[in-house]
Amino acid sequence: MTLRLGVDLGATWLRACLSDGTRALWTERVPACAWRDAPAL
Amino acid sequence: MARRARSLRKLLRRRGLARVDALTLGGTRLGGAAGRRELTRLLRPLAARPLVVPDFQIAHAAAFGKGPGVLLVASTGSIAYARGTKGAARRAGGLGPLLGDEGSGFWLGRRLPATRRCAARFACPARSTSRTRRIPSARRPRSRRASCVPPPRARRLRESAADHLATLAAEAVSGLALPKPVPLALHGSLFKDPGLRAAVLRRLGRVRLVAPRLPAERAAAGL
Repeated sequence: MTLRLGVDLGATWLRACLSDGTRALWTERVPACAWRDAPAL
Repeated sequence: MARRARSLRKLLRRRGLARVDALTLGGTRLGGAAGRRELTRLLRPLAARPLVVPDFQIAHAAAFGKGPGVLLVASTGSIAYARGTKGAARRAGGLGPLLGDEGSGFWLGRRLPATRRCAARFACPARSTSRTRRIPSARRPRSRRASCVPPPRARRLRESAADHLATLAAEAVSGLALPKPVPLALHGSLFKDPGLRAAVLRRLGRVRLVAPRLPAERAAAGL
């Protein structure tokens, strides 16, 4: 089984998904940084 | 950069994993090619094959897979990214708030408090008075939010943003071979405004609107 982690790193949220290539094993959303620090202008 | 790598390490550990086979990260404001290289290096302990790309590339994959189409993003920033039938890709915009990002949320925000009345309603710190009560935008009543900008000015701003965004899309597709009508995906919170959405589509003419097949992180995970 090949574990592939996909990550969408936005200005304020980090969304991640672990897949085995055919289906999602889990997905998670966590704050990427404090909103006052983002976006980095 | 190191902070971002650390938070991913923590996330994997929480899930009982130390390392994965492949890790594809699409991110915004990573500091260009040099920043992406640096982050790739920091991610090597976490994955056998780390890959860091700009966020619009995984959003494009979420909409079109490996196929052709143009992704138009209107969020804090703005960018258009197109891939042709032969695989060639081209982008327009996305230069950041200092150099461009016309039609984006940042671009709109800079223009909104241009009138004194509007600035007072936005409670800009420099102009705050004891009579000005700060209300977080999320809790501000819709009618009050809407009244911050006089309608004709708001409409002009929206039309102007639509001009810029449509121009980005046209620039991105120029010189690329694409199916007709051109597959188009609209991405970003600004397109939740039906007026802006319609104004952009009016300018682009005949296109085939494509909804994302799946969330961007799933596309990045190869699904």
